Amino acid sequence: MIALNVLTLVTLFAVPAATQEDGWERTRAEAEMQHEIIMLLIENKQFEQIPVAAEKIFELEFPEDQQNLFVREAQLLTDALLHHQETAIAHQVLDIAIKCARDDKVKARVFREKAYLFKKEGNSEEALRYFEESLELERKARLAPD
Amino acid sequence: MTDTECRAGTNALTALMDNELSREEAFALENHLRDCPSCRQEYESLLYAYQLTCRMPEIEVDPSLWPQIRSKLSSESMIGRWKRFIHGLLFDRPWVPATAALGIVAVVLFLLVGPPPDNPASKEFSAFVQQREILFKRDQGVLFRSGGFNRYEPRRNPFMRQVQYTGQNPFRSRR
Repeated sequence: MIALNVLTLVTLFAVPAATQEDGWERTRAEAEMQHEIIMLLIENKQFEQIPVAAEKIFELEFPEDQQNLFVREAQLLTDALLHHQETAIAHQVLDIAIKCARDDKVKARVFREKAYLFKKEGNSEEALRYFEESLELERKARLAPD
Repeated sequence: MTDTECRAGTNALTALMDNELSREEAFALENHLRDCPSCRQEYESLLYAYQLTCRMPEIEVDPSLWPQIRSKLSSESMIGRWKRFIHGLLFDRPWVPATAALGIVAVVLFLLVGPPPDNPASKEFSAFVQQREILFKRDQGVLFRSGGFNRYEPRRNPFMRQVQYTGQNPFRSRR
């Protein structure tokens, strides 16, 4: 009887945890593959297909502790596109990331990416505007109850 | 006795005292002085001053006086020139004082209002851009210095599974 109770408890706690881990593993693998596709698209200079491919990554469910990967991907794509002077595509990608970002902290960091992109384009006014907006979002995120 | 005669008479009084008038002119003037009390009074006061001056002793003039006077005159003429210049500036070309006045007003306003306040976010933004530039270079796959070493970090897939290098022989049996 005791053994059964223990087994029930283990099933109750361990199985969802394992499922959650499996879920993230699936998401991670999918994102990894999608990222490689985007890198190939960049290599082949098929830039116009990148926003759609990037959306597939940003639409994925990232757990709370993996949100930094969402931002990192946005940074990597911005940089890769900037190296090819494809700023218009980079803007599209970041707009998709902003649309898909699930919390204000992540959104704020993507806003900073937009600010950086504008700065690289030489539009300091717009860059500062986005940066200020990111600060405002961060402030809101800090004030919001957990 | 007319006003014109009086005016002509008083103008000729000094000439009469200096014997510069013709005989006819002197005669006419003396006749007029006899008949006109106001002109006669004027003549008498002038004559008194004239006689006083004649009685004064002659003064030896210092030879250095004239250069002094001349320098004073020239400095006064300099002031006069400046006065004329300023007058010309103010009244002949009105746009000059108008522009100067506008400039002064602008300076005063700038001093009162002060320069536009420095945006606090802009400082933070420059720091962010600096940091982001480092990341940008790293993502390009360039060499960069970190902790005293030159490190090369190529762009890599952020979703790739983290493999930890343990330093152990991977082929060694775990048993």
